[in-house]
Amino acid sequence: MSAVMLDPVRRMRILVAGVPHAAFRERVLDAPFEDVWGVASDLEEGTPQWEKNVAALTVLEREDDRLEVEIRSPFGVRLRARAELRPGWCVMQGRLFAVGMAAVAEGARTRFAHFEALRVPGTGLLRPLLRHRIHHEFQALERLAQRRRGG
Amino acid sequence: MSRLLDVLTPYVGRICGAVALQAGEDAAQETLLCVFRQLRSLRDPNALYAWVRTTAVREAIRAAREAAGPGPQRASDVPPSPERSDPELAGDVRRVLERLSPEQRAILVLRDLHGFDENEAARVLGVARGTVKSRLHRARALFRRKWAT
Repeated sequence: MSAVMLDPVRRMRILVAGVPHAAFRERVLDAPFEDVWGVASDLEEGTPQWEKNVAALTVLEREDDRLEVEIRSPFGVRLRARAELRPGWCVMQGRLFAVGMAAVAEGARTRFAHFEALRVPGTGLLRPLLRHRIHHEFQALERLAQRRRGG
Repeated sequence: MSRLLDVLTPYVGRICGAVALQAGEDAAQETLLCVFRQLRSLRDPNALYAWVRTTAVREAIRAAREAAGPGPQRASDVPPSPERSDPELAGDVRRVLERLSPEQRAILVLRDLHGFDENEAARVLGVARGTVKSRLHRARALFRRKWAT
């Protein structure tokens, strides 16, 4: 009798269920997994190009799939976070926020899931705003992935 | 939270894969969604595995019933296991199991795979001890019969 495995997007849906006030969306992007994840997993170069909250990201330490990163917000605030990065899966958690992304190939396209959550009381009200922003982040990520393929 | 998911997923996956067969992925996802939604209400961390196990068995039975629909399942619906060292044997076991009801698979998994006694199995399944006894007897007999043919 075999165990079933869950793909990263299914796992992300589950993780989000345990994160209070998380803004979550998933969409099928019109680009192959290799290109989408190639952009998404390039935290230092790729993330600031599509993630609106991140002006710059620096990997401070790395041990296997565990990373310590420093994020500079568009307002100049610097935040540290622990990250977990594997193929199709990335979760970052800081004192004030948690974000995650997951991807799985769907033929020549990619199902991509992303959540953002603020760990500050009262910020649940911002969830619709965050979800709206994620929608635009998906568009930006899709464009970057398509451009990557085009060279 | 992410590490907890890493730990619980294989555990839930084993139960759901064995009981729900081809509906195992959906059952595992539903189980873990339920667990993570209610995680904050868990008072005793020692009770985590018992709670997860009960939820997994119940979700797996429900998912298997839904997937089966009104008619019997066909062997061709069941994908071969990718993880077995002996794929032929695994396929044979799977083909026999899929001819049992989800409730019968659940009792075999709990008693013969996880080593639960009748009282524990009754608690997980939410049925009387006598029901566990008779269900197990029928499930084992049916498994042997189907295996022989």
